[in-house]
Amino acid sequence: MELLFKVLLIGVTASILAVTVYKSVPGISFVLSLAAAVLTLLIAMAFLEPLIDFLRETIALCGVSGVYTGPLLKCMAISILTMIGANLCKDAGQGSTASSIEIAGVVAALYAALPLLNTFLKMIGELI
Amino acid sequence: MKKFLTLLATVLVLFAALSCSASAYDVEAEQREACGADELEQSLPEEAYEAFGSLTLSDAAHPESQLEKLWMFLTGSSQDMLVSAVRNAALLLVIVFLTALCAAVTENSACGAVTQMAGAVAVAALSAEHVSSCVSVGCEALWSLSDFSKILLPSMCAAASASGAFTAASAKYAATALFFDGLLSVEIKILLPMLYAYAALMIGGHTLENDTLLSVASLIKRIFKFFLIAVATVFTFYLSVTGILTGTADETAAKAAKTAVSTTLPVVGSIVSDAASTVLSGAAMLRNGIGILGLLGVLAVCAVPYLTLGVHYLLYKLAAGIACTFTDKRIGNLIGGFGDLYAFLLGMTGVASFILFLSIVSSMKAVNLG
Repeated sequence: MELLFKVLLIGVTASILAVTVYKSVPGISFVLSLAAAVLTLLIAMAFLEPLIDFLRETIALCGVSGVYTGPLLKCMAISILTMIGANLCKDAGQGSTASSIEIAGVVAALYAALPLLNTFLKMIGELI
Repeated sequence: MKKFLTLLATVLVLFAALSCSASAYDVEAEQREACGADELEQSLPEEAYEAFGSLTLSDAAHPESQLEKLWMFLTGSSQDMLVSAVRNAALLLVIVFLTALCAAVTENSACGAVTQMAGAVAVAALSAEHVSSCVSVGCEALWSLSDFSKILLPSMCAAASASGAFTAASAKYAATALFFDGLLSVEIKILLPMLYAYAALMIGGHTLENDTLLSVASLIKRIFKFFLIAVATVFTFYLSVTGILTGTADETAAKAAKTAVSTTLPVVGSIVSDAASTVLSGAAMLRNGIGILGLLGVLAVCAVPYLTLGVHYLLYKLAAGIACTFTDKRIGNLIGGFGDLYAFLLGMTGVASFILFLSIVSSMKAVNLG
């Protein structure tokens, strides 16, 4: 709960400051947004650790192959990074850069899911 | 006079000493040989030997003990299968949970759709791996039933004919052979490819959210159900009508023959008629023994596949219900679709064994003409 309050505080403070300095120095506003995003992500990692341990234990207990879980987790990480990067660029008023980042993210996610698609096609081939 | 009596006694003693002894004619052994009972005992399916050890016609007189052995075999061999089925369902739910987590985090992201598609593909790949092993279980059961029916049905027909039901036996044998062989050919050549087509359409439809593919898959599902129900219904109806018509004909013929024998032959006519009734009764007992042997053989072949497919079906439906509560509906429906595949396999095996069961029971319940 404390960590969540810290994240809320950092986020709200950075947003207020960014809005305040946006008219005079837009560059500083962007840097403030970027700093707040990175800081909150780093704080959120503290929540992620027990969750990742739980997932690792569950996957080990059930014996799920890494072929199925690895690509999914990679896609999730790529989606999060793409979402943050694109939104930061949109905040800075760089819509075209944001779109490029989104396209790159989609392509990267598809590339990460490629082993899964190969396994899937192999299964279908054996079924047929 | 004394000399004549002495000569007569000497001749009679000589006759008695030189003639061969009388022996009873072994009717039961002749009937067993004619019905192929020994060949049937030696040609039981492998699963029957695993379940019962050696199975003979005399064991058919104690079906309760054989059913106990079958139950022990089932409980012993199904433990690993149950553990594997539960593990498969748990694996699916882990993947579904991960997919739900990814979807929750990336819902508004451009990569969100890719992540959800990857989740659906992961579920489909895992489920396809499980389904392919169960397809081979179902197919093996069908081939075992086919091989066993080639020995069982002629033996059953011969035994039923020997018990006096000539017309009924041949009509039922013809109907069973026709329906069973026809069903097996259709299942291997048409229904199995349809099953794979349904799987492909269902996976594509849910993964890509394409309603056209899902509609075609739904149509295939309806055709499947309709065909299996139609075959079972038509066979039941045909066998019932055949049984009624031919049973009446056999009964009439048997009564006419008995009356003819007892009235035509003076003095010994009724004795011969009663002896013939006794022979028919013995043949009826042999027929029932072969029938029980056949039922036990078919049960041994089908028990494990029924349990495997049934348990997988229930667990997949349960997993689909759980998945629908915390993730995208399409993944829950995808898992439910794979559950339907197990239901189709169960239906295919079930209808084939149902035809054999019904034919055996119908032959055993033929009117005792003894």
